[in-house]
Amino acid sequence: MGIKISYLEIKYFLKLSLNFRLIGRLDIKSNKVVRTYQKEGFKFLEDPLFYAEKLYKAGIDELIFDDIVASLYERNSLSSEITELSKKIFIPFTVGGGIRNIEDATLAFEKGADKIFVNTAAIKNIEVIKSISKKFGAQSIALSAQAKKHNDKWIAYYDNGRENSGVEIKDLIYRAQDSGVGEILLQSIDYQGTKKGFDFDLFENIIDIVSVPIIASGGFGKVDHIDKIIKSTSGKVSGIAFANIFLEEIISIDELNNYCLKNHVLR
Amino acid sequence: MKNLVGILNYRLGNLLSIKSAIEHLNYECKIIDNLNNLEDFHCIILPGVGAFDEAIDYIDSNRIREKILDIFENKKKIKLIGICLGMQIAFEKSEESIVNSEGLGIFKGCVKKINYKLRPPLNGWAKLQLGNNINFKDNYSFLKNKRVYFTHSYYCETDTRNEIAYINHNKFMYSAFIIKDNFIGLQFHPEKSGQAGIEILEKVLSN
Repeated sequence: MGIKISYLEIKYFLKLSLNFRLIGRLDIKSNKVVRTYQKEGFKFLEDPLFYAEKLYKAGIDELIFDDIVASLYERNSLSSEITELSKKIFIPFTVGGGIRNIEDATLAFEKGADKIFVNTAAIKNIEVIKSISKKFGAQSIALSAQAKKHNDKWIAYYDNGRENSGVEIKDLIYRAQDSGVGEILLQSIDYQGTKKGFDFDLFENIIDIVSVPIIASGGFGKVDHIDKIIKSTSGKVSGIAFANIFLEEIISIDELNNYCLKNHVLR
Repeated sequence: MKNLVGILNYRLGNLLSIKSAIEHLNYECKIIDNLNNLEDFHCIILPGVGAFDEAIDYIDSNRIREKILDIFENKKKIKLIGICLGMQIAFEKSEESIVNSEGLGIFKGCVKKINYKLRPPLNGWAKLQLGNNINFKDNYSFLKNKRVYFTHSYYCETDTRNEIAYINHNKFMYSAFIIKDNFIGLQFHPEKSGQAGIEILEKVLSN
């Protein structure tokens, strides 16, 4: 028996600046978590706090709270939940949905968010990213990019996947990085909720232009998808975000941890 | 023993998480704007939000520098805990500074920028390795392999005498947990490091 070092492990050591992250994503509508398919909410579930505590206890690395209709109705509604969460859950959480300007971001941080993400605002007014990044630091702001494939191109969507911006995903990533985002959450609208795997072609297509940590989202349904997303990004993906696999109790966090351990994915 | 912890507010962002974590450990906690009335405090936290220049600017324009150094140099029975940026300002200077701000100088050296090839900011988790100073081995062995959360674009290197724990990520090494007399510096965020972080924070506050 010799020491076995897999191809994966070598790649990890070379490419990743920190360990692979498992991130739970909660889509929230009217203060309830909703199950979504291709960004369309179709089933109301429990309160965000219920899932957040469950995932925290199970050992998740991080949580994302997405107020999925906030940008449509231009309101902020997550703030009281965030405060409640920050008293009980001692892991980082990213909050977004309806953050339009630096005042919204300031409020989210004051209420206990560690990081915020912008989507609609990044498309409508990229200056918002610059001002938030300058004041709170690049690590505090992420771009949430939502991609839909048209012919052979991926186009950025906004207003929770409803509106076509006409901007290519690559261009949005370039612009956001130049403006000072510290992280990119890239989600495929076509694959979201399908559980058939991430849009591996999309990630392969954009990975070389990404200069900050990137999180893959949309389509996670089997443990093997972790290996595939790592390979299709040449080991550059920083982690994955998922929702349906724990909402429907398909894969437990323990199983994910065991998979990573067995496959030398540094956690 | 006094159980009051103060968090210095440089007015640069979220202090709620660290306050919640401290209160979770049954300490009373106050967010404070200055260090004028310290009699009741057991510990002062220099929190980890904002940028180097802004934090130093706040400290100097509110005459906090001499208060911190007084607590440190005269070994007052108050513990100083710097978290992330709060640890970095305890060094002499930082590559983050645009106006060449002077750090507190409690630790020697300059805070450095993380190589762009590692795609900073580093956001995520890593395991602590124990430093080489054998004097710390007994009290701090519990830190070994604890998985904790980092988010930073700058890093510190410290004399091994002061280093309790460090991170070694593919030979990129930096200080994670440092100490000098009554000043403790943490590069990671114990308030965001799950159960491991809470345990570390409890030990740091009670030791």
